Amino acid sequence: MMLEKLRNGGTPGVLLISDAAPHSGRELLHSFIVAALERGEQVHVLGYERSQEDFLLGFPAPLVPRLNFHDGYSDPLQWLGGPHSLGPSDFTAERIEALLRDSGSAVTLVLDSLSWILAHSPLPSVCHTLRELSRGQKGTASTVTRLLALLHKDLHDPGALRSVNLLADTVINMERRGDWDRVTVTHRKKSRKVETSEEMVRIRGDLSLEVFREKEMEQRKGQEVDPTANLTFNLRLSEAEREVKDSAILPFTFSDSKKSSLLQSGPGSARVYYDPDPADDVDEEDPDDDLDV
Amino acid sequence: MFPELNSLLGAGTDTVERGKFTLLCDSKTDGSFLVHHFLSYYLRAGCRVCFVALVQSFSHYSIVAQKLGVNLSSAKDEGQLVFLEGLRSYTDLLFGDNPEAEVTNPLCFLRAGSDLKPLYSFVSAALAPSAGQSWKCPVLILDDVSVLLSLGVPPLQLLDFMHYCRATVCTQYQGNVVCLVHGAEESGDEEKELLRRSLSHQSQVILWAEGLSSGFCKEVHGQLKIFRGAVSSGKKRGQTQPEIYQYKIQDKHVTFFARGLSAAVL
Repeated sequence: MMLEKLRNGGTPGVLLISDAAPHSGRELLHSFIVAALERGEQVHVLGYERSQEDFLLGFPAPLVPRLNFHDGYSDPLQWLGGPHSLGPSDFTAERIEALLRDSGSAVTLVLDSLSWILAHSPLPSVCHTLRELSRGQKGTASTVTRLLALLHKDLHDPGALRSVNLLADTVINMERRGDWDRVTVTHRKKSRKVETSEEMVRIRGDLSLEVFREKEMEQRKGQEVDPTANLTFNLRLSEAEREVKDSAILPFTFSDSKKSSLLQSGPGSARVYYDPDPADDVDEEDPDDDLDV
Repeated sequence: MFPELNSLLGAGTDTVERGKFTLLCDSKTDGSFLVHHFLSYYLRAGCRVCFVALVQSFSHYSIVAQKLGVNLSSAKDEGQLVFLEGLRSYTDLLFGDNPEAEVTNPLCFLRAGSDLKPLYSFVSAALAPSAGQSWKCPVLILDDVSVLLSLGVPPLQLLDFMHYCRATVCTQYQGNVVCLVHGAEESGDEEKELLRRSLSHQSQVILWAEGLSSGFCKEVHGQLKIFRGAVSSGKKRGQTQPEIYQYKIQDKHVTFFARGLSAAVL
């Protein structure tokens, strides 16, 4: 599965997770972050859309200390004038490199979200920064090996979306289908060959993925909806059961043994004797003569 | 307050969930009853409420609240409710001739064309925790923010304002924000639609009141979609399907029932 390969293998380059309201791609982003942390990489988050507490909620506790959160949420526009938090002007390759200076060479940078940055900075400068971050600037290799970004595709015009998608090495497009997310992955290999794949994905409680190709999903669905699966009664008979059924005598069948048992009066059965009263005026022709109608 | 809606949302007046951003939307119907619900619910639960009313006058909300068993005037006098009457502030701003009052008017940005910082300062000052208060948690209710778009505020500035409200009220004060955006889809207003979509990316709960596709009906007034935990992490994964109920608005309360199970049908 391509999605799992991307998640577990840690493909370098820019990876976009593009979602639309009301179904968020944030869980998939978290799942990729967990995978990076489990590989022992340094993860830096530029958080513009969620507070640190909200963002870290749901991550396995042992991994949290290795996540570096840079706050761009509490005061991005300097309205409060308090301690410095990241703002739109901080989204340049130099500033970000400065933030990451202390942490080794292999860094995964997470943008939460690219939509916020695109809304506050001009598109050309954002594209420029993305490119410098992924390819390195002025001949020097970039410290950022992997860039994960969340993009809300329903907030931007098609032109901006195209430009950003073209810059990315991998685009994961999410759509909601019932309980599953239908994911279209477009991945550009180093050889510039483009691979696409459509998969169905569900994110488990521990942020791991459950992935199926669409065909398998349909097959699975076919199995899943079998209504005869868990019945409380039998729909078919075994041979032995069929024999017993055939030999059973139904209550309304009038067999010889039943006839004889009805006609023969057993011992101790009651009899009716009728002795007409002398005063009775029995009219043989009209037995109902005495009825007062 | 509508007890049936409370039970659908799993809320009670004894304990109030904190740090939540709730978005109310409507299409082809009027979702204002949701605002009245949240206003009376939070007041009854003992929260400190800042209400930014941009569509109706105080007396309108007061009369509706009275029907729901809450007295807005006394809540205002006791300091539990801070009420910003947008209609009055805006008229003062446009037709008043006192330049000093203009500076302190929370809506003065409409004149200057600047960012919404004055309104934000008003809200954060109204809800800032202060000593000697016994109210439970601060709550900001906005009815309805899309009006500001019509008054000429660019959507990005409005979103920045909402961002700061969320950062301050939800995260810093651990309170709640409830915000209504009226019918964006049918109006064909792109800015409004952008506002609604951006806010739904940020909200933990979306309540969406929709008119019936089959048109007006006397017994069923519409359906309510509840999207939960679009962003809440961790606990309830894989439950992003909306819950859908139909409702009927009555004089003093709203009844909710499963689709097709109206009392008039059964």
